Amino acid sequence: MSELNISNTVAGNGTSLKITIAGKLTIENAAELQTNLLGNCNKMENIQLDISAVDEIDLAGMQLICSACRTNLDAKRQFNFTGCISEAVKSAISAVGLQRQITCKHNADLPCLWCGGIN
Amino acid sequence: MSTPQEQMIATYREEATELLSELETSLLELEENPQDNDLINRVFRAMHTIKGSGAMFGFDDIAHFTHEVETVFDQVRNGKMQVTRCLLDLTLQARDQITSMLEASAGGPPADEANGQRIISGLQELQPQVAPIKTIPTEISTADKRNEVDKRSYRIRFKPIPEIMMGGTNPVSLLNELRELGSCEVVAHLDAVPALELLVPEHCFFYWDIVLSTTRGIEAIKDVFIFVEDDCELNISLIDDGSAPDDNLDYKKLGDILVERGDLSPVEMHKIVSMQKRFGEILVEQGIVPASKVQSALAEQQQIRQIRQERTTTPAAEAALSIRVPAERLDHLVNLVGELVTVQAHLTQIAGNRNDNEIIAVAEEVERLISELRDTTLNMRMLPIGSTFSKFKRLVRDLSAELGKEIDLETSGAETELDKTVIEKLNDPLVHLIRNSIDHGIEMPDIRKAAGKPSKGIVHLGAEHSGDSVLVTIRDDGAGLDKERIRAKAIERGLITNNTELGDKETFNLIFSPGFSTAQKVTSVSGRGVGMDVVKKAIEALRGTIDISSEQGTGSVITLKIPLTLAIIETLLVRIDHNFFVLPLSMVEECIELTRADIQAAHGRHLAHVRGELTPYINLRDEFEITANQPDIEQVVILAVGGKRIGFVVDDVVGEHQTVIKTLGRLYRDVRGISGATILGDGTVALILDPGLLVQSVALTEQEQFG
Repeated sequence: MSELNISNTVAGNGTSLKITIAGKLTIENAAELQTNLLGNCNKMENIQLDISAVDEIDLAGMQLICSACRTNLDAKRQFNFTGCISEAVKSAISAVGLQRQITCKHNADLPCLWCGGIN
Repeated sequence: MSTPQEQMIATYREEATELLSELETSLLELEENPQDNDLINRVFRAMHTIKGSGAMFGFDDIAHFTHEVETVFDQVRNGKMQVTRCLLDLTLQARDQITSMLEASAGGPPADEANGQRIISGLQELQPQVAPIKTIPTEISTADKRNEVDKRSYRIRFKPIPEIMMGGTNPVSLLNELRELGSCEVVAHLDAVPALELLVPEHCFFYWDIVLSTTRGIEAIKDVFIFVEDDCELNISLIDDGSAPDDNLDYKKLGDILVERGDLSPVEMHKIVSMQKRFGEILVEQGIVPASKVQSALAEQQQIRQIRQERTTTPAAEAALSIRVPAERLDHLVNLVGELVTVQAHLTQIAGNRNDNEIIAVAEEVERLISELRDTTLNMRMLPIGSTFSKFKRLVRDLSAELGKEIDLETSGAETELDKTVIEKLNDPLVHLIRNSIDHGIEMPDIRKAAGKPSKGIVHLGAEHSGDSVLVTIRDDGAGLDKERIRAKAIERGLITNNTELGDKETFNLIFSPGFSTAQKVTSVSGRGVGMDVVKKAIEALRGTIDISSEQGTGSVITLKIPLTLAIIETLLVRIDHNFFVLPLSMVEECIELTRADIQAAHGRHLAHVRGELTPYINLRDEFEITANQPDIEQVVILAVGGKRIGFVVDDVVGEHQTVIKTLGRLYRDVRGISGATILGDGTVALILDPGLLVQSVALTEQEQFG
């Protein structure tokens, strides 16, 4: 898979959104995901992001997910990760030096991508 | 006295010789496991050390030559080249070339330069499309040496401008380049990542703190960032220069690191410190410093601590707990201990005669100490036999290639220790025996296949302890000895008559007869025996025994039994009239009495009844023609000789004796049955008997008498 696939599933009376991304999340298509996130998250209370099918991620991709995470958390929406992270993504995260033991100040207690929070 | 410079050169030669033999072993092992990275590294390290110290002591030719070989192995180490048979052949040749260069420098014949050139160009041809890199080895080696000592740590803050990725630069690849320089701790900071609606996906909002411990200089780090110099904020500072005193293992406190980095003001730090909680946690709780910053500082602390720890522990491990002593000094020490043992025997004897309790107590104390001293001294000369084994691997490899046979050498018990002199003297006989096994024992691959054996033959060389001896076995799965052929040869040469009945052992022993070998070799049949008499003599000179067992079609086993040491042995002292003799204590099984009545009961045959079993004996009085003062009751010392129990009749058994072996003078050297002499406490000489040879010579005389 070399393209980015985004699929949105709305549940719980239109307050929960599950976003599943698959394929390649890189600088070339990060803008596409950004538009999607900006357009769909505002009306939700609970957002779940499943990146288990992402097999390639670069700095721009990570940056985008991080930004989405803290933006939604700051707006008092639940932002969660589900699914297992692929090995390729895990090693990309450690190559950038993003593994963490503690979550950032935007995130009180929820799983964090950098803590390996989704399993 | 030699100058320090000369001494250092001598040390270098010794070390290089050791390294070269290690190199050979590693190369041969590598042939079996070509993928083994450990082995490849070992080869590389050996080369590197030979080169480096060679250049240091002025062996420029060796350094230069080794450098070329090392360059090739560097490629192998980096996975750019495969280990091939051809490569190993050339490297082994290169190793021999270095050996001859080393010998040339010690006054030996000059090394063949053309040969060296041939090896180098051969190696370079093997290299994958890389032009030979010309470097001056001297500079490299000294530079390497210096850098190995100095491992410096740098703190790097790398903050690229947001547009950096638009220019095609991937910051991650820069990080990876840094990782190649040394051990590296990377922490990315997220605090500049903006809210989603403000985020420009193509911009980079991360920045990094990196702590790098490297042997390379600051220039190497700057080189990594050379193309992004104008597109980033870069701050490199030395935080550990490798020369910090060893007791200062702890690195700076977390707060100090943050203040130093400018992430925290000193005022804030003191405020927090006064709160007496874990500093990092409080900082995050209070929201003064973001968690990522704390984490990054912690990583730095961790890394430097680890580096410092490594630095303090390695020198201790490196200072090996051994020293080098010239062999002749050790020999001298052993001789002195030998004299001391003799003097101590004298002292014990005098003390016994005086019947003075005080002197007896002192004599016993001296005896105890000297026996301990003797054991320790002899132990110092012990070396593992494995060093010889590795030489044979090479022998088998070269010889089997020459003969077109496929042979593996297996070894076991390489750690078995033997006296240094014994190992040296064992070398030639072993070479001979292994050659024999390869040449005559193992068959050609097609013959082996036809006989239903694997085409690859196996020669097994093993060593193990057995009492005060070491058993060295050479086993092959070849054709085995042809008994009929040996017998026919022996009859032809008049060694035995047509109707002589011989057991397997006796038949095999025929091949040790002098002159037997040459005839066998001329007919070029599979029988062993190329100079086997020489082998036997050499083993006997070591007071050892040699034993053959063989089965036609399945192979032969040759067992050498070698005493652990040559200098001092435990013996049983016996007396006949006024003459003293000693017998090796390890062979003694028991002592019984022999009365005139016993002799009469046996009707003049030399047989004694021992618990219902007939034991043959040799009367040493008759053998040495001593006629005076025959006592009524004699003693039979029963020894195990070649797996049989044989008695030796003497007048009296005196007791155990520590025997310092003295060689006999030239006139007496070839007396059969006497292997040496020793000096007793009171100065009398006692002859050391060789039971095996005595039995043989008695058997021979009887054969002559009775046909």
